[in-house]
Amino acid sequence: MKKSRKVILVTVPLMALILFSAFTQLSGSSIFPSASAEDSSVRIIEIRAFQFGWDPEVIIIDAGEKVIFRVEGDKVVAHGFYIDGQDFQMYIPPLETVDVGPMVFNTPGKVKIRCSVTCGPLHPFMVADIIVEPNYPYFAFLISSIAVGGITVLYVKRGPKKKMLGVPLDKEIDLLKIRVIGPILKKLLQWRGIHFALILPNIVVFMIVLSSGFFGNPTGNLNFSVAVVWILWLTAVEFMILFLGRTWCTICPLPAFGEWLARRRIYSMPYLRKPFSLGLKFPKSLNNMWGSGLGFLGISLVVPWLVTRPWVSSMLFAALIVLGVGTTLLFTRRYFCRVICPANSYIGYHANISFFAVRSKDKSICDKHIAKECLRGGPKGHACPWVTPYPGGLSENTWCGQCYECLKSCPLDTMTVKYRMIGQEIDEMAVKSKKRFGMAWTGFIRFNLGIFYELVFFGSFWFLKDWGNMGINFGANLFSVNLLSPTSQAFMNWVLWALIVAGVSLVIYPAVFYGFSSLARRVAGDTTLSTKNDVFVPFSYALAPYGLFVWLAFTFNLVLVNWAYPISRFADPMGWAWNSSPLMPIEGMMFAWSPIVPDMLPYIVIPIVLLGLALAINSTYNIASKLFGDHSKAFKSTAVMSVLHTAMALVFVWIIIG
Amino acid sequence: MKTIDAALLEKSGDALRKYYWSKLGESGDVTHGSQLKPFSEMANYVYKAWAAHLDKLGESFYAGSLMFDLCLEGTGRRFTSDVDEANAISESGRKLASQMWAQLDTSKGDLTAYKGMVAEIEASLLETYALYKEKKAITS
Repeated sequence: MKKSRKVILVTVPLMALILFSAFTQLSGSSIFPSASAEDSSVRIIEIRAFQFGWDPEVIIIDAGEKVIFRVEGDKVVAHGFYIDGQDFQMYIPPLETVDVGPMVFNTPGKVKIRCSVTCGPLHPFMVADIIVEPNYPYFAFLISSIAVGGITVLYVKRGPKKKMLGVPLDKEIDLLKIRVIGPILKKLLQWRGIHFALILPNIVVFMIVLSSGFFGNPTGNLNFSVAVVWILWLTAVEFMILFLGRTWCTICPLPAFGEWLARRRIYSMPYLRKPFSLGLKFPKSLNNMWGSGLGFLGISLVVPWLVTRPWVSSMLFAALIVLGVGTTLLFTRRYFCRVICPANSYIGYHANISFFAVRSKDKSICDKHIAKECLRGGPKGHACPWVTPYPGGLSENTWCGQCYECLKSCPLDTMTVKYRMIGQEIDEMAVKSKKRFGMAWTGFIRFNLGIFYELVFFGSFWFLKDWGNMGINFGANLFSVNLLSPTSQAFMNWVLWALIVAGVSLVIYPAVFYGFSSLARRVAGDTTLSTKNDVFVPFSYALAPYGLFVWLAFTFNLVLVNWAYPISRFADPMGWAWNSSPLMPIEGMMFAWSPIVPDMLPYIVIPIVLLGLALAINSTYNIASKLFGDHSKAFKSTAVMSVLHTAMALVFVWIIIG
Repeated sequence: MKTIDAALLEKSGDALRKYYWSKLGESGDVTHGSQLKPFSEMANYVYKAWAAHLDKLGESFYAGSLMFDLCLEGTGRRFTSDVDEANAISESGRKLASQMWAQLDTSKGDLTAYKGMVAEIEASLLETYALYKEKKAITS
């Protein structure tokens, strides 16, 4: 307790310092005070704009120093010069040099220079860093990260049983029993048409996505398929996972066409259960998370094209529909969703720590029930399309696509929808699935890519974007890059990118994680369990909350800075610049690009990741308690694993504000 | 023609008596009314499923569920909280369906033979129903 108090005594002033920095950031710098470029007290900072970066990419300024940015324009296209927290955007025409300032940055910390004029596919990610020294917030966040890790370790030292950060894990709410809302929700979920009613509007949106991708503006942020999918959808799905589990899978249109075809109807129940499908048996060796996990990684290898080139996005979606239909026609049920869909890997993986779950009210009744319509299907509902081993006995969300067929088919009315604390079942699930290496690697891929994307897309290292984009140095041909015939140098750069992405996610981080798992087992003093067969995979489940919170942080960055792009695309999906319309007054945009509190982003996203860190450490303890069955061993192993988790938080802090 | 297991018939009759007929209203035509609807509809389904070359095991389970669903429907319910009720009726239905399926396999889909078998089961169930009504009349 004394140690805890000491830690709190250190942490509280730190947090106060961070908050103080955050508030002072609001009035951080003054722009254009009376001074000119000839003024000897003014520092001239030369910076060159190019597709898609700034040279230099990192500028260090002393707090209170008066500076003028001499911005040299691109040879090819115009750019915009915008600094987080400043109330101006400067147009930088090609081949011209523009002086911006003088200005003074009073608040220590890190702000970003961003391009404010659409300049090509990777325009939204064209950033440079201004570090205002001394960078107190950076050090405060570093110490805070260590403090959060330390406090959580001290908390688990007290041996909290079945708790997550103080919240009891056994408490849950049956959503279908809530007064007034519950019965309505139940009726809706048991209504056969609900699935179709939810998917139908999504199909309309999907058609717009496909057509705008193929026929719309080739620049991503001006096209519905990229702006809406990779900014709004991506953000919405991450939040859905946390609060609504796999609700995206409920409304996803990708498998719907195949399923309707196989069932020969859209939502009603057939009299005879004779699917329009070959009904082949899916290979057991492929029926795991490896397919979709590696699919997600595969997409990451081409992510700079995918999230910036509308036609690449549409090609992917069209291919997924074809795969969805094809798989259903071959294997009848949703093997496409289970083992192919790249989104399944992370939605399924992280949904395990969601607040939301479809579960049995009483598993003993389900076990006693012989007919098990949830599993085999009945007159009111299909057999679980997700081929869940047994919906009545569900204790994880990995394979539950929330189609609610079990709620419809069960004549005992035992299935319901629950709201519970994050990580309620993670310990049991982790211990039960010691050999599910596919799940472990999905966790590694997701967690690492969340951090890596933060570095690539919101970091100032333009060359990383260039490599992934298959461009050449300084992006000379990036605007019109032909992905199918890159230069050999561009191709080699991309190979380097692919090696980094795959190497870190598949080999380096898992190897480090394995090392820590082994050390944790040794420190715990357990000789009965083996690292490979008993400890490694269960401990990796701590990345389910951690990875999700890293991605939530990433999407906060994405949506708060770029919200204007997707919103504008609802008025002009194709990006054909219907700017003559009163709806689109600003260069093909409904709203001017104007980031929301961009200078405050570190103060929003780092606490989110630190909450993820605390959840990861507590999850590790809960898993270890179940695994070793002993508090002392569980605590010791958690302490070891928390070093790795905290180190990763420090990496994130460095990327964001270091 | 194969005959239906007598113990199964008795068990099925008991299940229907306990969980279905006892919950039906007093009125109703014994021979053509709602009393035999769950079984008759199930028998009809089994024939169609067999003719469509569906899987025997899966469809027997489904036929049991169908019979139970029709029992629930007949008594104005959508669900029951009694797992014993669900098990008793759907298991009877499944086993009956399985034997009827076997009969169809043996007779290679001879509809007349199948109808004979269905009629035999119906007669047995009606007999149980009649006994139940009689006993009920005495006790009341």
